[in-house]
Amino acid sequence: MVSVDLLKQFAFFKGFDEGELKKLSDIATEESYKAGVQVYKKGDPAKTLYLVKEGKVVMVLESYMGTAKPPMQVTVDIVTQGDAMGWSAVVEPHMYTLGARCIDDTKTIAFDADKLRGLLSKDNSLGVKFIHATARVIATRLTHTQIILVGERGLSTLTEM
Amino acid sequence: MFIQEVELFQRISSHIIDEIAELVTQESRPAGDVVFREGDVADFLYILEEGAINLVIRGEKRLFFPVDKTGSVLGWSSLVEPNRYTATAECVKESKIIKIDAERLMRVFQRHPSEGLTVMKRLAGVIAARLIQSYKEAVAGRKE
Repeated sequence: MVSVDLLKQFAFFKGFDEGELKKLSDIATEESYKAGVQVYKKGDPAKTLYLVKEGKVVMVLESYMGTAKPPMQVTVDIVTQGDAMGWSAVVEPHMYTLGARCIDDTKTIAFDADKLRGLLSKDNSLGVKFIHATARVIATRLTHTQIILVGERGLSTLTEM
Repeated sequence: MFIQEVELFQRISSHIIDEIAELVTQESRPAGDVVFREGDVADFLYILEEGAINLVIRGEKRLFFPVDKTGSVLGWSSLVEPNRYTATAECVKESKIIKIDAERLMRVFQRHPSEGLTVMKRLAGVIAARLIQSYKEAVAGRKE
């Protein structure tokens, strides 16, 4: 459980009322990860939605390069304080679409996907707001990816051998 | 095309479909016509009824996503802040589209949260699908 005041610091919860934040704070937990830790991999079942309280996480796309080479890892976004990650926890088919690796010591607020989905299906008004906020997260990531795709800068590669 | 046939609104109760139907207009657009432009204020959600539309994103390079499946959703930005279209929609051929007032649609969802949740989840799925498509493009671009 975390405090309602802590949740209020996140733009994600803009427009949520006190009662709704209370329900969400009841199922939230705080977690810490050391720099270098992989929080989840692409394709993993999405068991948690995270809000980053502190630190920095790179969102990584792995691409199969054939049997002779290790997979190419491409950073498509960087998630920092105040951002959300792991939206797949509430969007079908509930599988992460990118990997998440901490590049700084990172503190998160974690929402268990089962509890979260249970809460949203019980309180549909909260559900609409939550999915709306999640849609904003996905849309932001899409915008970032498109900027990279059409830009001349291109994608930065973490490891390319 | 009837509203309840649109994938986004499937299995939504008929009295809510009736409310949504009131927000809808049907339009026919000629080939080459621009339905909306990247960066414009996004007031309307569109459903492709017939034809083909390209979603175009311009920068140093030009990126486009073809949309030609009946019932496809265009202009999801109308339901997600900051409510600006993220691509330009150009008709590849003569196309029939359904235009929905997004602000009023959102109010229908707020009045009927159970259905609202169903539709918003599907909409999030639409944005997610486009994101996954972009990731594929990103990887393909790197391999070249």
